[in-house]
Amino acid sequence: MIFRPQTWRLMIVLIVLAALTTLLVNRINVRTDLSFFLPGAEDPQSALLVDRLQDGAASSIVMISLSGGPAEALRDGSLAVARSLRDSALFTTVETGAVGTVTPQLLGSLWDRRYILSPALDAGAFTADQLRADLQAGLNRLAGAEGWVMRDLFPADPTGRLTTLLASLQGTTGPQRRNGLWMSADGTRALLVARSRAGGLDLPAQIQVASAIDAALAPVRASGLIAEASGPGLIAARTSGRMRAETTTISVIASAGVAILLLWAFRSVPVLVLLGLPIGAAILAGTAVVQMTFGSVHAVALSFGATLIGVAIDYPLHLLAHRHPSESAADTVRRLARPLALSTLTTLAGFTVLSLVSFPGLAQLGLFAAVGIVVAALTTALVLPALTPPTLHLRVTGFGVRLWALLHSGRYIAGAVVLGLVTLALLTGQPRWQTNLAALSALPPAARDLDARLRHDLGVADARILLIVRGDDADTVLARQETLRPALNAMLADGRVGGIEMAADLLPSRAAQKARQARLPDAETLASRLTEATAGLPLRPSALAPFQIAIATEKEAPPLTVETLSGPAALRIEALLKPERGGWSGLVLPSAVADPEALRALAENAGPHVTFLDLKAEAETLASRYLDEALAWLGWGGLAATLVVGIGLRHPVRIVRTLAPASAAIAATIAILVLSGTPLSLFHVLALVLVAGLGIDYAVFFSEYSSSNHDSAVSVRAILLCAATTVTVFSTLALSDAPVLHAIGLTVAVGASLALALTLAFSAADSKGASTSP
Amino acid sequence: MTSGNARVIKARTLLLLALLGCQPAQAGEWDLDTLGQALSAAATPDPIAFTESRQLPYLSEPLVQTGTLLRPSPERLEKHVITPAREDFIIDGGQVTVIRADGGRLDLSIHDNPLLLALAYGLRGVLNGDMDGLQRAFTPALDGTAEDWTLILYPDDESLREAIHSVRVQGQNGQVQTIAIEETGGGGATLTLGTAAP
Repeated sequence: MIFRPQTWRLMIVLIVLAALTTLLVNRINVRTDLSFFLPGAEDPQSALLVDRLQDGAASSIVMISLSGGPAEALRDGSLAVARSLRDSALFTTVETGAVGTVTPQLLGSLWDRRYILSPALDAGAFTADQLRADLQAGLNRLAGAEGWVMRDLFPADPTGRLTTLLASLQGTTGPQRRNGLWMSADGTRALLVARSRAGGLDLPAQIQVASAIDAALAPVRASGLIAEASGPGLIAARTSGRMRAETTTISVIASAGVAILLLWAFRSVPVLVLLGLPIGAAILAGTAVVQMTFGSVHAVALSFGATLIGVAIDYPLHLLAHRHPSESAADTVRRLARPLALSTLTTLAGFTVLSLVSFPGLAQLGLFAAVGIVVAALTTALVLPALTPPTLHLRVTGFGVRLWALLHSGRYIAGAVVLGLVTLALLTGQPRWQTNLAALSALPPAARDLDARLRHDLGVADARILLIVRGDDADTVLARQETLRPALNAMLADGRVGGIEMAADLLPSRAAQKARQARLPDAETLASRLTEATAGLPLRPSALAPFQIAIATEKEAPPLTVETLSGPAALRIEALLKPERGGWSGLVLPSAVADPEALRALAENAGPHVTFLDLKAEAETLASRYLDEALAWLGWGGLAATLVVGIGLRHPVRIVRTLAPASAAIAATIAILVLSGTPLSLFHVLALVLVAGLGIDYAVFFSEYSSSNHDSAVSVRAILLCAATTVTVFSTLALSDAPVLHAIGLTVAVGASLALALTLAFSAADSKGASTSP
Repeated sequence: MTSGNARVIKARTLLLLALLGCQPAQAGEWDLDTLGQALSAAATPDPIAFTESRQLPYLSEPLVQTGTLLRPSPERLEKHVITPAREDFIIDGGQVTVIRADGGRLDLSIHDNPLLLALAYGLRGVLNGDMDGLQRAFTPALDGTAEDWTLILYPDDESLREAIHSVRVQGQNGQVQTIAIEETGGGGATLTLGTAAP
């Protein structure tokens, strides 16, 4: 079999492309975390937010509930899940509410330093009278049910210091315990809380966490119980998995749809390769340039950028569709050079402006699309003609021309409809802007409900408000947190805040530890007071020797530090106190906040080392800044595109003819979105830019060829095909239940259809004349 | 397994004897099944006065508690301590609740601590005559006659064996007189049951 030269060249180009792809795949660094949505680190408040979102105590939480079985089955299930999660070593803590046997070994510092760590140790704690009262109370407890649990600890801790300490750490707002487990208020669900070692937004680690949780829950589910889990990290991991699966399905369906359309239009298989070539080259080049510029490529930029390049498939389509039967592909390129350049430059103008914005995610996207558009256009103009077989032609049907004639005769109706929609939207609708970052994510409502229910059951606050205390070292942070204590206690007392969690409660500052040590009596004093206090109590003379040793040891012990702290306190403090660039930072996590302003005021009065952070408000501010910037960019991009069209066409009527259909299509699309009550987000804005690019593309090609009737008929077919491919792809995207993909798909499908219809309706050429041509 | 069958046969025998208008011969066999039947027949929802004496190696004399025991249902056992300090200790199914005089509350599971498990199965099992329940945690050994019997329970569970040596129950017919827990460390507790409190 002898191949045509075009086929040989095509094979060489494909091999080169494949080689470049292989080369690139090993070098690009694709990021899938949420950093796309976050601003750069130059703004300190935003940097703080990003840091907290990515690595906060709140984001590492995993909540699990088991239900649908008798109490014993829930208990067994809960303990089995906890065991499995602990074995995975991915979690700092896994709690079921079960107390278990309390042993000094398990408690670590909480036992060894119980007198230094427990807060209420006033000067009177070791007088003979107080000791006697505490010992009597201890003996009463020893005689009762608790005696069975504290039997062995009594001689070393006769005043129940450990119980006080554990109770103060337990907090007040935890879930209720039943059958020794945390249960929901209605008693049907056993609850567990785990904290992953990795931050909630560390996606690769959270995917591991999610699979550990699935593995732990699988046997419980197999035994017939209902097991549910939620948490920020888990949601992120599941969303990313779901998005990936859905994106794959959508790409397959859309590609198949486009392929069928093209096969029908050209009755040729190689056409698919030819049309795919500029797109492939565009994605390749876009990825490479973004990787070189930013050091990594964000998955959102990659996938959404690829959709934006979708406008580039129009270039090779124009080339193939506009070719006269007798013409060589190179001649067609020469003939199409002007509109192709104009269309490319207008689209490029928009994306170049986008690449200059301050959000790295948007900038990546803009750069990716701009590079892609240029490469697609250049590939079409320079490479494609050499590869196009001379026999390849668009199938000629009368449909396009008939549609054109129909739209043209109904142009006043079309104009009236657009005008009506816009007027109606202006009169009745108020555009709502989506500033909730969470709503931009692909979280299905059911997952959001589950999360809210588990948080309610467990009394876990959706930690949106927190204070950050900074210092040069860990001890300074702890000391600064201690100075906040009186004010926080006042807020706890009158209910403005339900609970407080902070590192200083787990580990007092050195100064506080020293003060507490000073209050501990020396050995002789304690011995004499004990003699007095125990007179008449049923204790053997040496019964409390372990107590005396414990006090003496703690009085002389070197101060506990973050490094030497051990046991549960050490695990809990990990998430609350961390080294950061140039110092340490500690979180103060309030729960059940009734008065956020009081906390803000507290932080402001406390000086520069204490920062108040309202994560939700911060994130909303961020989202609206994002949106504002995108809107401003839309304005500048529009202006730049108008300028390009103006310079390119230089004729006022033609300029208006070219810009009007796209502008009207955008206005009508916005009107439809507003009238349907859809809150507009960043992604709608981006989709509208794509609509603008497509609309101008249609108009440029159409107005360039309105001179001769034959060319008009060809052009109608070409832009119809372009629009058909676009609408096929984006309608498929609109079927997605991920809010982002749905928004883009619907907006572009509607916008592109409108742009096409308006271009045809208001064309200068006479459609009746065209319909009579062969 | 065999005790189950034996119980069925025993029950039929009892039924037969009852139909014949005879009293079961108490002088005859005295084994776990007849003890269980006698205990459950005597089980009462009325309060039972108790005195509990707790001994530990580091105590020079035992700590003494008094109060009442209440069994509203086979699953539930309430121990209301009146002296020296009020305390309610409630075992309900697997759940253990301790409510102190100062309002302090402790929610535990019998599984949290082997001693609690022993207490729950031992105390509840003995007072209800639930021999099957007892045998889930202990190996029992019965000695003596119906008028003066001693039931010694040896814990099966490894961790429980580390904590307690045995539980020694003494009684007459369906009446439990004392329950003594002997701990491995030399301590122990003796629960003496009196007549129904007013």
